[in-house]
Amino acid sequence: MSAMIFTLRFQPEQRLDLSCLTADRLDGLSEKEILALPVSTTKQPLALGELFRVTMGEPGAIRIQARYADGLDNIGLGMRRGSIVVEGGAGAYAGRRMSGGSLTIEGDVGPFAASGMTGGRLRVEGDAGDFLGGPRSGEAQGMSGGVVVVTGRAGARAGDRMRRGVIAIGGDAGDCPGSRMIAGVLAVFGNCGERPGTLMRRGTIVLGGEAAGWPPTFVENGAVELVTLHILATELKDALPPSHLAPLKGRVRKLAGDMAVLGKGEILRLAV
Amino acid sequence: MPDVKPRGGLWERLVGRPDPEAGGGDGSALVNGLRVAHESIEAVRLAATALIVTGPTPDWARTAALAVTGPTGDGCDAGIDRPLSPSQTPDGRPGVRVLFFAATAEALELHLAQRIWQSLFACPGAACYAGLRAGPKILLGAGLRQFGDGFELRTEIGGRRLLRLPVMDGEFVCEAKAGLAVAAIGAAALLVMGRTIAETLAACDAAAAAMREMPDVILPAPGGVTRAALKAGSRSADLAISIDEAYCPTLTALAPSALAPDAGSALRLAVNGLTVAAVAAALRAGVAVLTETGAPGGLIRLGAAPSSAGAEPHRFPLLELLA
Repeated sequence: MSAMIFTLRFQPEQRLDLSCLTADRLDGLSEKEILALPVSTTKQPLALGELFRVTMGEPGAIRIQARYADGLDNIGLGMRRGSIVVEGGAGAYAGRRMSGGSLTIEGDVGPFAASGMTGGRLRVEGDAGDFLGGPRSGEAQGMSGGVVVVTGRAGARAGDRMRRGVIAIGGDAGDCPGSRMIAGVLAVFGNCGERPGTLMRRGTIVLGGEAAGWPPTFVENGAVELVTLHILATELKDALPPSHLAPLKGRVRKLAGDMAVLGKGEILRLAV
Repeated sequence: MPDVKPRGGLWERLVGRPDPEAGGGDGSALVNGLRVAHESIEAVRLAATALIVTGPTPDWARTAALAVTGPTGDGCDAGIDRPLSPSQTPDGRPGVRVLFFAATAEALELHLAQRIWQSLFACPGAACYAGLRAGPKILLGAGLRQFGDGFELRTEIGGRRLLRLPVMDGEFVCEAKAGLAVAAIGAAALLVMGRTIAETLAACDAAAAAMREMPDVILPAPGGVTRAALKAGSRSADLAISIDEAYCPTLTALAPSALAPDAGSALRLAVNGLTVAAVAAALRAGVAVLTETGAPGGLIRLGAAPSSAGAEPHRFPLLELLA
């Protein structure tokens, strides 16, 4: 079955809300109905058909071709099944509240990607903005399931208030990765900014490189080999290069914290 | 394949199966000189699950699997299904798939908690994961978390909820829950009679090896073969079971015997499986080896072992296993 392809014809003057492009929303719609779907985010109304050329196909396999565009928000919002591939970048909230299926973005994503995600897989082949997997203002928890892989870098506060699931960042991360973590696994294979794990209660942060500054409320717990990291390596073996994953099977240095709160979290430093 | 080539009878040549009437009016068949009884093997419904036990090396994975499947009391049959390569295990280390069977899900859960705590927890480098993910769930590691004394950690990776208990070599990782097999059956047993102990045991060894090759089954007896014949009841009112004298070749003159004339030894091959199809395949593999051995290998009679199956046992007609 061929994919349903949406090709952006020109760069719009406003940000777009592409939350309508999921298998559940498109299932059973005719081409005319799809072209009439609203995508505007300002008072200037815009229909999908005014901006995109649509090639009809299976709604469970969607391709969005927008290689030089930005400002495409809410891609994969609430997605439950099927696959979406974005040939280009995505704006804010990519994969937000996603619960199943796979979303692949071949460029960069904006802030709050995978926010509130509960299942499925999000792959970003560029960089991710701030609050990757984090909650929106007023929400009690961020990502609570699924797997997120960013092959590039991530901004500040990746995994903020994360409750379950796995986030793997192939490159560097900004300040405070894993801040206020409730549980889950956040792996940063590069360096990170200040204070990783600030106020984390439970959960695991894996750090491949160095931190710009360590929080004073983590305590050294010695060097160990952990089977749990073998499982993480198996889980990520198709997503990241072997050179990233090999240190997971060796000795790691464990820091326990954050002792300022519950203190049942851990930062595992690789290759020590 | 069993040696069921036609041996002169027109019926055999036409239908490709031994003539059930050949050599006797009891419906039995004669295959390669071995009398195959016109009986049905009965199996009981059981609660079952599979675990994946891993270790730092193949030897330690096998040691851990042997420890957790070793005898720790009545009520739970356990055994090794097959070894697993690192690519087949959740943590990428060598592993072994092991199966557990008990009368009820509650009993199975209790036995698993005991076995994991007493054996795997103490085995260096061992970890334990659910080998069945579908179906109703029973507790594995979730029942052990109190032993962590507040230092236990819980992590979820790849849809597996893991309990991590600190131990002297790092941590013992055990998945929180496992799936329950909904169609598991067990205690399906072949009764093999031969002229001598050596010949009967050699044939049963070969049959057990062939049966173990089948996936999703275990042969719960040590070595897959047992010589114990038991019956319900006893002359002593205190005992619920006692030896079944009808199957003991030393008592043929003292009690009514169910053994074939000239049988100097009888052994039993029992099999438990996660599905009816798996048990049928294992029984078929065993029957094939035994009929191939036949009278030239010292076998006299192949029948169904006496069963204590419940009200609605699953039946495997022995003659249908010949095909």
